[in-house]
Amino acid sequence: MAAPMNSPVFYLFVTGQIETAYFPEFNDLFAKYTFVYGQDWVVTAGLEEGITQTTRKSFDGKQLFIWNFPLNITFKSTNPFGWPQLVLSVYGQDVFGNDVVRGNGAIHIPISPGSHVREVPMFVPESSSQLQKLTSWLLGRRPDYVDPTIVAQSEGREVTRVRSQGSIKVIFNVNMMDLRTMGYDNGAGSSITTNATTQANTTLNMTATTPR
Amino acid sequence: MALTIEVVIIILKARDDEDQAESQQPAGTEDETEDLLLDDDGKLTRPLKARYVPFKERLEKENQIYYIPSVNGVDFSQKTEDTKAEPRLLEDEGFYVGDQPAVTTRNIRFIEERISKQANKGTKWFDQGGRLKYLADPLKQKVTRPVIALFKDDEESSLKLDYHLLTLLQPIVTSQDSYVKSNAKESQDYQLDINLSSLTFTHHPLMSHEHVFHFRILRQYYEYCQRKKGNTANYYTGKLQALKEAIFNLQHVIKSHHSEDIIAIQATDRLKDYKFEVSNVRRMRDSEDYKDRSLIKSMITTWNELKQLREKQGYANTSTKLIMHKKIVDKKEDAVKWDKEIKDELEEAREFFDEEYQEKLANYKKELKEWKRKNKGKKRRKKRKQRQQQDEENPAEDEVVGTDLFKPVPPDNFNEQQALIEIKENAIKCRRRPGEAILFPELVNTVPISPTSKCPKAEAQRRREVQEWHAYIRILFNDNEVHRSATKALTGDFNIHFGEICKAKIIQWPENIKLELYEAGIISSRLIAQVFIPPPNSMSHAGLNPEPEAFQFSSDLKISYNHTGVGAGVSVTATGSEHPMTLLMSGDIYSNVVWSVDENGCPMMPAIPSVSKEKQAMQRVDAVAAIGARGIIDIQKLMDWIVQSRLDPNDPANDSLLDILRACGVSPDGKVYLPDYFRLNSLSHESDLGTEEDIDKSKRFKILKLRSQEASEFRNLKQVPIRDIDIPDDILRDYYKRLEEDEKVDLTALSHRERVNRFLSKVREEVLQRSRIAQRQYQLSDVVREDFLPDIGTLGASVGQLLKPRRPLRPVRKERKKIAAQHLGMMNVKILVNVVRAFDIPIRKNHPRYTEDMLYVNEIMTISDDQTQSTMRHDNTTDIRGIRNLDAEELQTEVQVRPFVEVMFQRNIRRTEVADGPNPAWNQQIVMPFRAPHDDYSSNNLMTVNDDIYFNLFDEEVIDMLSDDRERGTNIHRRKERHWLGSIRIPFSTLYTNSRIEGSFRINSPTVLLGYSHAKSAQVESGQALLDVGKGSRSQTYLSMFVTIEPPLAPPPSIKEKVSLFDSKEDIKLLKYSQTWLNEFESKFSNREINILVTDINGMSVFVTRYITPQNPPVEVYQEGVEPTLENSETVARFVSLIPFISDSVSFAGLCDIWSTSSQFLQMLAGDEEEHAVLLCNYFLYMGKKAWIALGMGIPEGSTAYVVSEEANGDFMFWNASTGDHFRQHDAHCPLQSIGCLIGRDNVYANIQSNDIPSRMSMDTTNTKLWKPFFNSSFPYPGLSSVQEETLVYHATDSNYVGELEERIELVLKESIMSWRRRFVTRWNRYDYKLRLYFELLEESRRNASEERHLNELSHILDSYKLSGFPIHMPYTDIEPVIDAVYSTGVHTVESPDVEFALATHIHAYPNSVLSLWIYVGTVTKISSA
Repeated sequence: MAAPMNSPVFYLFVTGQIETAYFPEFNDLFAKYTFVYGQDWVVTAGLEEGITQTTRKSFDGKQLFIWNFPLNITFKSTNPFGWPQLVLSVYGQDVFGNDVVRGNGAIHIPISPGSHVREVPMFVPESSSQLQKLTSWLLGRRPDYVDPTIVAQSEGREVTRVRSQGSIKVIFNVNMMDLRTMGYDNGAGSSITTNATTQANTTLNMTATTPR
Repeated sequence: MALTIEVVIIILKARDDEDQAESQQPAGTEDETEDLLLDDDGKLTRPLKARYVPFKERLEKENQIYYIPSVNGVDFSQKTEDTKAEPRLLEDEGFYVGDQPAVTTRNIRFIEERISKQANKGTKWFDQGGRLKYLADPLKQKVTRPVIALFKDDEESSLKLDYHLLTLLQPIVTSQDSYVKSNAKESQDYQLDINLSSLTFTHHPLMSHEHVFHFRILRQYYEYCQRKKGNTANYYTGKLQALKEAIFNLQHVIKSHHSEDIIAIQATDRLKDYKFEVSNVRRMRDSEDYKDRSLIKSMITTWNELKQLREKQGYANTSTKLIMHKKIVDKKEDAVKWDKEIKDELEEAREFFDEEYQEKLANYKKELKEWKRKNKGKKRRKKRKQRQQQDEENPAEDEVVGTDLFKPVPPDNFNEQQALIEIKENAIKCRRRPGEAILFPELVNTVPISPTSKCPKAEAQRRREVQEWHAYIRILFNDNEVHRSATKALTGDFNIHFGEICKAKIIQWPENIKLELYEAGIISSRLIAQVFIPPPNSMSHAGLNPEPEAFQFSSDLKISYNHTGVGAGVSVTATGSEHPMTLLMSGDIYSNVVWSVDENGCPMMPAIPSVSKEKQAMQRVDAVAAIGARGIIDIQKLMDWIVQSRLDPNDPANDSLLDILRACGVSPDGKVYLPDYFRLNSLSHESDLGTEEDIDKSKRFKILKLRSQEASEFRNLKQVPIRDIDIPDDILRDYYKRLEEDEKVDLTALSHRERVNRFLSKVREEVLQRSRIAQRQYQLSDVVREDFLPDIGTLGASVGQLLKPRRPLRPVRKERKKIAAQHLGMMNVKILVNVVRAFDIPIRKNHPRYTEDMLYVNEIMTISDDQTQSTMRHDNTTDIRGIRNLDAEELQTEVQVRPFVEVMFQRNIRRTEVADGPNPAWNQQIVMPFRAPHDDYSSNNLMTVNDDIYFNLFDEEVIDMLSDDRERGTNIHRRKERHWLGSIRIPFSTLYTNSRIEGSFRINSPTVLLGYSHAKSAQVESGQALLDVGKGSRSQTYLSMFVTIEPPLAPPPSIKEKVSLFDSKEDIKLLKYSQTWLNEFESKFSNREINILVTDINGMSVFVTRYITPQNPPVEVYQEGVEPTLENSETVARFVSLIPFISDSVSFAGLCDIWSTSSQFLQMLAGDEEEHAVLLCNYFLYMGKKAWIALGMGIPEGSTAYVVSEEANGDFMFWNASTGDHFRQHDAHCPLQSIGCLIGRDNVYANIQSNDIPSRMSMDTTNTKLWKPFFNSSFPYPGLSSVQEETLVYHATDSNYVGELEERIELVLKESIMSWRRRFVTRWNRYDYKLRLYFELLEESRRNASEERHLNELSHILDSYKLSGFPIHMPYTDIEPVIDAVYSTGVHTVESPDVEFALATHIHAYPNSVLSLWIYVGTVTKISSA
């Protein structure tokens, strides 16, 4: 059952950039991104998945990978449960020219409107034994997630051992529509003023009562 | 400076002017023209010539204007207007003036001189002291760059680093806030001195028996000394004496005064008190006396035991000796005392008694009075009653009789005798008897300890061990180890002296300080006991030098030795005494904890917080918890206290206590008790989104809840509306309706199909529920893709690959990379079919028409031969003749067929080229498009694709259409007709799960193919050929091909391993054994099919042999007791094969294989290989055959289950239960390619032969070298009960329903065919009924092979019509596949204008709605009389 046509929805507009990455040990990296969201969410516009260009480390002291890869997507939903997450996986080539996963990470899209800078820690699953580590290095087939979107869910993670690899900086510019009219208060915009007024009211009440 | 410059400039300027004046002079003389010029401001100016002024003149003028100040300075008087003023020097008056910038005095004088010449003498410029005003030097005297002090000697020291103790400036404040608040001002260190003084064992396992007594006597002696010091008995005696005197005095007072006097009354009161006191004190004294006596007594017994022990063992371990000093007393004096004492007591007792007696007597009198009064009343009543009874019998009065009153007993008199005896007994028990000597024990250490050399071996060993026994103590501060003492040895008298002081600098508040005593071992230490030491209070600090306190400890360690050590925690019997005793290791640790003192003698302790934060926080939440936080031991007592103390309910301080009261209930007997529950999280309420009712009321919440529970209606629900009003009511209503129906609805009322569907969905739901739990249990391989470790085997194989000879002419298929469904996107998915070749296609039989034709053709040929005249003509005819000849040849050889293969999938049709002959080779690739439903290529969706791929084999016949022979020379007019020869049906799910299918497949040809026969059987008489109904496999057609999906789709994740994670009712032992058994097998033969624990319909794993048990086939199929022949078996197999086949992967998409029991299978009327095989196997067993189920690989279905039966002649037969076919073991075309295991009734045999191809295997299951049995002598068959029902109940199929169905199918098919050939008129032949009769014969023929006479019926038709058609036979499930099957034969494609269609259906009903559907479709063409 799809929601009836007249059923209200709220919208989440996200623009932004996968800006830079910090992977101190590697070079020549590219990233894949995909949005993962719950059952009540629908992408109405924009690309759900994408792949960036390959980039090299900058030569200055920062040693950053610059992608500046734009994100632009619009969701509509009837339920904040399953709020969209951005799943990133970074790949690069190893010494032998194999494509090797360099990091996986996920982050929720900020829940309040505005511009947000987010640092996404990236990690890769570890080999299950030292010998496997060696062979995987030799063969260029590192352990990788069967499904990269598993990093966006909590189920089944306990069986993995991961290692931190670096981080990616993502900028989100978030805009929302009708979230407040649906009764969800994410503390943004006019809600602050209402909070302030209620607070003021309570303080007034307090002062009214205290003299007695 | 600036001033000087200014002056100089003035001077210089003056000079310059002079120069200019001189130089301009000549120029000025030349130009004298006078012009009036208008300048920018509008003023008229007249430029003049420069005039020369003579130097002297000019000097004079300048002297009038210029003034050159002197450097002599000015007086103060000149600097002020006020001439009388005295210079005032601020400096002298003590004001701060500050340094003034350095300016030369010359300059200062210069400027002073200059300023003083001004109009008002420049007073503004001078201060009161007459000095020039100028600001203080603004520059600060400071070095801007630090001077690097580099001294030669000190060079190194300046580079050295200083080390300081690490100090935590700002302690981390945790949520618990147990850290000591460090005051910013006094950044103090807090330090505890934990003093570990010594350790004394009161019992130690290494003690000998002698030691045990030794320590006992020591303890007793110590106690004795303590008592003696206190001397309580004497104290009480003294007190008693004093009291007696006081009483005597009082009595005297009372006597002397009048009884009514106030003094006397007061004295009487006091006397009473004193008397009471006396008896109390006496009792106390008695008990003290008794204690003293018994202590001495027990010391003596212990000493005796010790002495005995020493004598017995012949050596001494301890030096203790008890000496008893006696003090002789005068017996007479003693006796007098004794008697007096007793007399006193007796007197006291009497007095006491008297008082009581008086009271009692008074009481008695009162009661007696009462009694008498009542008794009288009673008597009166009795009398009256008797009277009444005489008048009127009224029993009601009887009950009015008052309560029975006993006559009160008068109190006893004082029994002197009795009292005296009691007093005497007590005295004997407690007090020294008259004349008995007073004993003073004394312990001395005079007994020499026997040297070890003189001791027996066991004792020597004990002593050695004592020396080797070491211990140390760990100090734990707030559960963190802060110190570990040195490991010290045990001394001979079981002491350890540590003498250590641990100074612990702390930042946390001392919550607990724990000492742990460890016995130091060589490898590991053993924890003996823990002692908690109270944290010090603010009063105890090291400056006070407190004594170490004794902290008792004991341990329940159980230790026993072979030597003389008594051990601990175990019951031992000492040599001296008879009583066994259990001694626990125990002792005292002498230790204390105080605050340290710094150099100044101040205690290094923090201010003690009034109430810990933790507690405060707790109080806000839960009063009971807050109080409970600091260990309340007896809540009942607390409650009593709260009740008794009558707390002020308005006092906020009592809040938490009153909360407890409120929380507690009051039991009926007035006792307060605590609630028998406790709150885990009292804050959980606050995080609730709404009340339960709100959530229950909301449709949205309900739907969301059901969705997360994966109820089938809501599982894939997207975008649940945000408002309740947007949710249509019927959604939930339907759901609840279904739930209700599931429970209520009478299943029999529904049609069978609906029942099956409902049942299936129910089962599916159930299994989903269970599998969801299993699926949630991830393994690493489910989440992370990782290469397998190459072992020697794979490495060897890869090396071997390199050394293998290259065979370029023998290409090997490479394994393609699988594509996961999520990467597929909108890619084009195709099914690739490579049709290679076919064997043994039936050939056309000689047909009357053809023979005629042939003759005719021959005729023409002769004619044309005759007419060869011109080359042109000749060429033409040879052309014709070529064709003719070809035809003729074909016809003459009679082995003529032009087959092609047509592939149909999802109503898309592709075909191969036409090939020649009965054994054609096509080698052609066909690409079939594939569309997944809803364009969803996820594995879950693909699993549910229920489409079949049909491979139809046709014979293409070319029919000459030229009716006029004259045109033959110039025209070609032919018609192609196709004749269906057979088909193969492969479900898409099979292809998907196997990812590719390869091999030779037997074509399901219709039982009767009119006009065709197999090459070999062509010689056989035609009637028999017709009835050669799938009996032998000799004349079967095989098609070899290769089918795959492009791009290769990843097969669905198998959850085979997870099946074991399902619940199981099986014995744990069995499960474990099966796991090891399987692992053992799979490590050797990883690719052989084996399964011993299967999932039943409830999702529980069940041992597989439980499925196999004899079960009765329906009576219509097999009569009990009949000799099991091959034909019987075939009939049974046919019945089983008629039960529709539905792959589990379709019905339980994404789930595992489910094994349903036979009755469930018959009820559902759907199942896959296993269910068919199980049912057939059970039937065979019932028939008395030996049968097993073989799990293995077959084509085309992949992993499959066959039934293996042993026939009477010792041959083995393989039965494909879902098709009903059977093969001999050595049949080369057997579709069963490998066997992994055989499952019998009471055992499972794993194939451990080197070969798994059935024809090359031995089927002798008794040979354990070839077949590894599951149950063997080491793990015998436990006698597992069967999950099957004992007898299967079959119900007859409704014949009316069958008849209706027959008609309906026929109608639908006829309509379909007509709709398929829109362009033509479809005529129906009227001989249908005859065909129908013929069907019954066919169904019969399954059982009874040769019934030729019915054929005559058909031959009657065959005489006048050219009949081309075939019967299609299938189990009936649904109308859709029937239509598909007919469509795939392509009957409708015949375009001959005079064709008539024949269609007949027949359903043979077996019990339990097993329907065998026969459809006859064909074209009938009237044989033209011409």
